[in-house]
Amino acid sequence: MVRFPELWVQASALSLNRLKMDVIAENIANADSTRARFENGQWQPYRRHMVVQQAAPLSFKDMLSEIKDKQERPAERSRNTIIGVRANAIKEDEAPLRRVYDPSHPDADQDGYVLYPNVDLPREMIDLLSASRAYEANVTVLSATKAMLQKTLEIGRG
Amino acid sequence: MSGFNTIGHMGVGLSAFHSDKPSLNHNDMHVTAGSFQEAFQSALRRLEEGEQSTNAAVVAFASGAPLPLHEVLLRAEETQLNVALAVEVRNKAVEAYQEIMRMPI
Repeated sequence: MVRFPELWVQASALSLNRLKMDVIAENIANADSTRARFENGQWQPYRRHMVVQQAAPLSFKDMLSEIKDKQERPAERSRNTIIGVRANAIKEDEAPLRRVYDPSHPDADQDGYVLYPNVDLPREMIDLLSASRAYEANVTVLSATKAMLQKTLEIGRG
Repeated sequence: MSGFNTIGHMGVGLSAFHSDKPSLNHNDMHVTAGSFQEAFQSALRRLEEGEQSTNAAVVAFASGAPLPLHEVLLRAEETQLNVALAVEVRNKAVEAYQEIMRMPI
């Protein structure tokens, strides 16, 4: 079976955008979660998560051949490797948490303030939009690649 | 059979071109066979293996395995392209055979 690595570059991008959407869904679902972790006898609120993405070779074999090419010709971009994308890490946003005055809340401190997650709903919505548009863009590239490959097979005809 | 040899060389040339490129899978295109028949047979075997793995992926997805949908569809797409390629190669071979059979004796 002939493999088409160009299709799998797009597949890696699609996977990444799905992961981004999952993380955004998690953020929106937990926009008001005051209890995420129990630390030092106190509940810590949820913190916004972010996906860190990284350009990476698609497979271990590609990684090795890239290292080999780098040693032979350090100046050039490796010709034999195909670079996809992958999630490097999911990090927590260190931005300050929201402080809301609500003395009746079970998680309120002595002064009556409750710490809410640093999730900003409009921002999450924009991230969601760009993730879904990025997904669409990758699907478009995918169909163009597929059409090209199918066109190539027509060389044999006629 | 000698008529097939030119196509055999073409097939080997094409496979050599593909093996030059990086491949995602462990079963690379290794063309060691000399004759077109052997090359085509081994290509068909690999095609069938690919088809079976795609089928397995589809069945696994349908029975609730946590496979991403796009991966299942891409596998199917890849297999479809491979089948189309195999059909093209087969058509060319049959065409060449008929061309030889038309030769006036």
